[in-house]
Amino acid sequence: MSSTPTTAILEIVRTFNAPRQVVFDAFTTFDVIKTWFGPEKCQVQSGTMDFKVGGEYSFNMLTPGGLMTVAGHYTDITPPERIAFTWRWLDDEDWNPLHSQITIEFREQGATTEMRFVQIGFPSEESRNNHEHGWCGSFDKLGARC
Amino acid sequence: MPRAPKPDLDDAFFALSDPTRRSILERLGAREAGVTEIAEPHDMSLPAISKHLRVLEQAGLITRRVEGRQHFLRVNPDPLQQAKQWIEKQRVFWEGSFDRLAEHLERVTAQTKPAAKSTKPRKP
Repeated sequence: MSSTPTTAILEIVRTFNAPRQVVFDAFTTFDVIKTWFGPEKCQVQSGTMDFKVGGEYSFNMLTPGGLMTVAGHYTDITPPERIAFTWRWLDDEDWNPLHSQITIEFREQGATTEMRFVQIGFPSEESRNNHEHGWCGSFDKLGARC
Repeated sequence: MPRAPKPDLDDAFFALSDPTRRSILERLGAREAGVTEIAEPHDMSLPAISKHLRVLEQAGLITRRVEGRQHFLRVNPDPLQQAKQWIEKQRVFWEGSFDRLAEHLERVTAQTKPAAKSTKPRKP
């Protein structure tokens, strides 16, 4: 809990009925990722993936809204506990390109694995380096007034 | 109906990254207030507050109305709505991905543990 940033724009916790190493492995190769990556109506068409710290990935996906590309680079890989990477929709017409940072942690729970996904928005490399990316502490409160 | 141009979400996220600016937005709520009133609860000079207000204004999070020498500010909810939509889009994407990941993991574990648990009925 202590590592929970108050700045997360999105947090998802899931328990998978599989050992931690198996869950972790599902994130490490393009051939496997392309089988599950994206919601139901999205399908990964092609992509590249250099699974190492500093390595880049880029996935082209066929979506109901057309072909979309998501890309970034890995910032932390600690098998089988944690994967962190930057995240950016490259050709999303609706939004200006917005960088964000994703951290996925895997915790062993008997024969199952608890996965914790946290996404943090940040406006620029500079602010990320200054750990100033927190903007969302009272976002819900603000949003509720809209 | 034509939609208003989208403000730069990066600017909005940046503006919201500062606790003083978030506090200003929260206190403003739905009403309009002058700079002095906005500055009052903050232990900060008026120029410092004005700087924060400019960042919020540039991000499209507040609008300014000038009446003589007085400036009045009001929250513009549009960028907040758009930030919420962007987040919702991420949520739908990842929740959907993890549903499919769960199915993938089921297939993988079924292959490694061939049918031991699932097909044999348990004795009562």
